[in-house]
Amino acid sequence: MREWNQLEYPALLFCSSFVGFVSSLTRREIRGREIIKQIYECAVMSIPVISFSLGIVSLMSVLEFSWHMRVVLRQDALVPAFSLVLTIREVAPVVTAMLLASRVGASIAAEIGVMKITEQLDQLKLLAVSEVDYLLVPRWLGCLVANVALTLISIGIAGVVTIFIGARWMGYQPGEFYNSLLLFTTGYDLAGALVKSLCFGTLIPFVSAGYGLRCALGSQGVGEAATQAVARSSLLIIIIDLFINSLWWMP
Amino acid sequence: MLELKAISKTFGNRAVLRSVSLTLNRGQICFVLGRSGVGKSVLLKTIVGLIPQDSGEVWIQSEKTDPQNEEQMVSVRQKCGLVFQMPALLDSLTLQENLEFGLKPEKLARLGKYLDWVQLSRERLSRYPAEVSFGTQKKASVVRTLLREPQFILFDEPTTGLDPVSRQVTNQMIRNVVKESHSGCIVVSHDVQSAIELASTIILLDQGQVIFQGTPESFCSSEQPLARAFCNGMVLLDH
Repeated sequence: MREWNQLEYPALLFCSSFVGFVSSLTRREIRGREIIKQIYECAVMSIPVISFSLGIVSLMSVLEFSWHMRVVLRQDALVPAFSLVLTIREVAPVVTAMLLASRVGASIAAEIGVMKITEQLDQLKLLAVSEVDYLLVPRWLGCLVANVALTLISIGIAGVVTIFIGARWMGYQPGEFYNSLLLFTTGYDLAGALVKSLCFGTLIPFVSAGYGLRCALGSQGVGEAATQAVARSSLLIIIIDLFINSLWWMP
Repeated sequence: MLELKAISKTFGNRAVLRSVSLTLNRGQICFVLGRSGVGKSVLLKTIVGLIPQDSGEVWIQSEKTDPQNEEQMVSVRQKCGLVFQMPALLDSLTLQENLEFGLKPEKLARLGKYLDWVQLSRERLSRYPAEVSFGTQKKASVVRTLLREPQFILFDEPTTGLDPVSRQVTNQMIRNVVKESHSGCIVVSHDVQSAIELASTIILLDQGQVIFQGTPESFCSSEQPLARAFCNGMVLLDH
């Protein structure tokens, strides 16, 4: 039988899961409880770390922009708006996905890897239960919903932080900030961020599950699978981000 | 009838099974003995298609199985249950949920009887696998297979890791399975005492080959050195 490589295998898992999901929709056998559990694990449990990280990144980007613009242009009037555009287009979807990959991706790879070495996956086959339906579909939907929700939350937090910094240290009124934001940001930017978060939310569970399902036996194999899942997911997030940017915003 | 014809399996350069054949009728118990790593567990996984054989044939109730045909293997696995050496319970489900998982509700009617057979109390079924002992997990995994009422049950070292009392309970459970359900059982084990007590046939594997096949009586009186070593309660260190 042909051996699938590390890019083909997640793609194959995605196709199987999509078919499995559509099929379970038609059979009305959606495992709602499991999907909600996965959304909770992925989204709710990730809110503190993602909020904190995005808040710090937004703060740093405003201060850095401001310092450079004051040096070059002797004024930083549009810094908060520029900073938020950058956050919506790049920072929020990419940083959120990277953090989710390191938290949830590693967890998916390790959990499925342990299930493999303790013969739970073989047991699923014996019970005539598809590992795609049982393991992948809930994790995919959970990660997808979580990534979109967390990206929107990240944008909101970045906005609040930017307004706060603008008002506290740069002397802007929130109204001024809002007006400059409307000048540079459109719904098209927000749509781009959502497209990215949908792509990353799909990529993370399948790449991670791919490593978990094919992990070598033993605890070292599980550790290696978790590490590789995070490393490969992060790399693919950056490559796909570049690809979407070139399609969405480049002239 | 379950029939294996010249099953061979190689991992890399290592031949794990070499032309292994056996026949098992319903109502019979076949013990497969052998030292660790001779391919006993691989043999069981080959029967249910979890590890496809390189050559040879598996026939179950006059039907030749094809490990590449997942659809056919689903029906094979309904006829032929496997109890793994490790309990292999799903971590995220309670014992009760594990037992019910993928099972038709009408099959749960016999749950009480099977719990009695393995002496597992109902109170423990509300716990998760991580919250109970290895022995309890193992009993639950046996019940999970029994509930599906397969025609053949493959046990992979069912008494390993169990205390002497639980070992006797397991042996009695295997007797009950054969007597009441008229299932055929293949038991992979190192437990010669249980084999002599229970088996209709004993098969001794060494280096992937069947080096002895016969009744418990003939096993005990065999001149084959490894069989004698097993009967004397010791395994030759240098075979």
